[in-house]
Amino acid sequence: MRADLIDRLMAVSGTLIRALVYLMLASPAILVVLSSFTSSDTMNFPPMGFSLRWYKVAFANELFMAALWTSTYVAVLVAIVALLVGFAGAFAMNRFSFRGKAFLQGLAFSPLVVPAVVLGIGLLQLFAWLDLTQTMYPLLLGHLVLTIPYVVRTILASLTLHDQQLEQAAMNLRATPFRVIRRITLPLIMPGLLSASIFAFVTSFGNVTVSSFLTYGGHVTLPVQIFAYVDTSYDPLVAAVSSLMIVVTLVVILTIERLIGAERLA
Amino acid sequence: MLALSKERDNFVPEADDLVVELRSVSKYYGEVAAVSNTSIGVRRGELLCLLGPSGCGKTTTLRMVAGFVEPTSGSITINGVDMTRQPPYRRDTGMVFQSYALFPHMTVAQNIEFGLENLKWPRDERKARVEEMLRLVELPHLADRLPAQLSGGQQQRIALARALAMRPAVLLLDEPFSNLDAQLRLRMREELREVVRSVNVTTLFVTHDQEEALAMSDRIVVMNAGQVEQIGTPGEIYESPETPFVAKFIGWCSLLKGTVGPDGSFTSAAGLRLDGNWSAGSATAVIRPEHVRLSTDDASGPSYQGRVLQAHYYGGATRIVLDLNGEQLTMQERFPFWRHPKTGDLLSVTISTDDLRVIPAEEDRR
Amino acid sequence: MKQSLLKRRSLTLVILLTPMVLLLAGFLVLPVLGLLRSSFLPSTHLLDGTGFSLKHYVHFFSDTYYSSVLVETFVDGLIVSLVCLLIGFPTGYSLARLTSAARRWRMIVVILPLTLSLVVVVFGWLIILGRNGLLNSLFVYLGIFSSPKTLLFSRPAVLIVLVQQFLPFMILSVMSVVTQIHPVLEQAASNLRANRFVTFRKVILPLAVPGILVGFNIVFVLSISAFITPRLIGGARVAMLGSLIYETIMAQLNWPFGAAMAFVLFVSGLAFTVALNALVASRFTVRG
Repeated sequence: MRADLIDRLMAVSGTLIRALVYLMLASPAILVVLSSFTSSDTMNFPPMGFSLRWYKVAFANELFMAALWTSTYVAVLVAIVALLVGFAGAFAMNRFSFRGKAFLQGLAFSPLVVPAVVLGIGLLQLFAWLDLTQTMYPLLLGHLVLTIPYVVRTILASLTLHDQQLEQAAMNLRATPFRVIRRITLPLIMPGLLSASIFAFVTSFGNVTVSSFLTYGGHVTLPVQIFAYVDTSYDPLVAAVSSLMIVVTLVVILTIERLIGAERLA
Repeated sequence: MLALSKERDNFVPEADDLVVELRSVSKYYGEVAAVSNTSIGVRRGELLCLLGPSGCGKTTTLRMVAGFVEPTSGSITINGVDMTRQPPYRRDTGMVFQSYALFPHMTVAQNIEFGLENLKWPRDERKARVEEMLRLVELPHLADRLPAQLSGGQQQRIALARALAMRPAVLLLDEPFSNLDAQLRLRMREELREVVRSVNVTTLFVTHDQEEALAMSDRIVVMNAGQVEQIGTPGEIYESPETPFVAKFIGWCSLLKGTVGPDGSFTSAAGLRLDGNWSAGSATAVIRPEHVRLSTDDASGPSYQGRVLQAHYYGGATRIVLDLNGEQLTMQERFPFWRHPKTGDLLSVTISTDDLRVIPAEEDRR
Repeated sequence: MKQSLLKRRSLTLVILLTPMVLLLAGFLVLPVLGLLRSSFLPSTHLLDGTGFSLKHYVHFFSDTYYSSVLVETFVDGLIVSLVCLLIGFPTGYSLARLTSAARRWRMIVVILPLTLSLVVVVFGWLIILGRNGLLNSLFVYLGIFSSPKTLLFSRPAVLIVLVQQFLPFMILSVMSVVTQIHPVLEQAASNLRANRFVTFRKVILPLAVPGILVGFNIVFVLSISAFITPRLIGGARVAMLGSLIYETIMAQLNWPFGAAMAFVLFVSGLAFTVALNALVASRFTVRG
């Protein structure tokens, strides 16, 4: 009897918790988008009226538009380079056995556990010493390090799921190793590669914790610009800019979901 | 399927014309021998089967011929050329994988064409060969399908067509029927044998299914624990097994340990006596169900009283385990269901010793 | 022949690995080591000067203000991780057991805050918790509040926002480990007369420990090093070590002291997670 009660209690509380969790996870983004269409001068919720005036303000704002351009530029470059570097590394880890492999894997995933302040300050100091703070390199290299864990993990998973017997079949059909990679391996893991690259894009595009140390002198990314703006003022301009970021991110997630399925989004 | 030339049914491969030859090949994984000191020759035009339980080394042997596994020692030649250290893509073999390994992103025609492209064939010749192969497996209408749109049997035929398209020196088949259900398996077995015969390709074939091996092969290599137990025609393997393992693995049988006396008769450990003319010494008698018959009035030879231990009704026949003077024997007999024997019943049986195999202990290497 | 094949293989390996190794060595390992070095500089401004001194570490541990912030930051990190575990486990578990069609939109909801820029998420919370925000409007409308109250700039607000930000990590690691636990084990347990709670405690929980631990570690490390959220949601009133470091470096330009604090944060966080993992491993590891 008592056991039944516990079961019932677990089921009910589980349902409640899950409802709360999904609500909590979804609401900030939804509220930002709703607020961005306000016609009033200040941030209020519920928003008053409906207008696109804050989008017009946002597109006319040179600081934000320059930051949007910088973010896009850096993210695209990072997505391309991270894919090349990450594929080479993941391929080596998947197909070769060598000494120090476990260590290297640990190192490739470690940007996830090094606190952003530690990495950010360390990079800032390094680039100050190299006298590169006025250039794009700090952002590019910093973001590259941050995206390596995601890229390596996604590509490793693709390579692991990929049926290596197909490559053996191709070799049995007299294909040289280079042809095997070009005709069999790459086409088959293409969804994984694309996802990895898009993931790198969105990681770079949205990062603020490390970026805020790397835009010290030179170029400012959009999230850092939003951070600086919100730090001092609070108006619907940020809601409009943030909505743009939400749309970009959502499109990216849906694309990856199409490519490799929701299960492997994580 | 294709019309067969009748004379091929009585095909006898020449013993010294070898397409594939493995000489004292071993493969060690650390200390463990997957294959040890194995020598096998595949004769031109024959269908040779590697048969054994899982883990006996048969698949490793096949993969060494294809070049996916490098032998630890020994040599492998294909058409007289040493291939031991050559990569898979320099070997003239065509393999049908257990899972077929059809490229999921290529159509059926592209799959078949892939090998020809790698051999740098001109385009029109490639197209002609692809069509020819599709006709051979009777699936020309599926040329533009993707593998995922095919049934298991169709996938198998395409995998075969792909492997044969380059006219390889040897066709390698790795348990090709294990992914098919029982009925389809039977049909595909016959089809595959016909296709292989019609293009006259030397074939090396791996299976754990002894019935499949007996039905399809010209010769069988029985493997156990990384070593060859016996090489012979299906008849030799079944009728005169050289080791108790081969006897036990091929078909149903009871093995009786005992001795052959100076008079040539066999006496089992429990005292069951079989008259015959075998050579003296300790030995193992291989008694198959068909050797044990119910006694009839005109039967020759001694009659034994057996007590029924188990009786299993299989419709067409009943399989009975008998206790005969302390030895357990299995027999198979047709009983109408209403006269079915029960546990404890006494049956009078004779044992036909004419073609009964008694393996001397010294031949028993294990 | 075999020798040259081996040589070519190792050459390929070197070519494949070099870019990643250089990147990680140059822009992950080197900056962290450089930071360690400058935390021992005697200077209190930028990076001028040479020499070796422990004064920043002494300063940090002798001033009770800093040590109390450190302790509070750790307590905050623990609270956030535990809450994430409590509400993330049921969510991750149910995600793992759903059909893929039902999982689809839920996964998107879980992934969105993870991929979305942190500042955008925090801005969303400003809309919820602000003086003219969602909650205040709702509570005033319902008559719970007579006038809007300050919900921001408090520790609970910071903790709630941190939980929301890092919850996806917990959900996903629980989900991935539960996916590995075959549902037939649960059926077997209930066939052996275990109720849901016993099945959960005796079967699911022990098998899910590795995933829980991964999620817990990630959430903990991210929480203790947070600085955007404490700064924007907590303001000057809620001090967490991350925002203190940011302040010291970016506003006061006292890099050596900031570096020392960052290292204290890094090492103590690492030590804590290692100790936690060892403790849990000794209790839950299946022997034999």
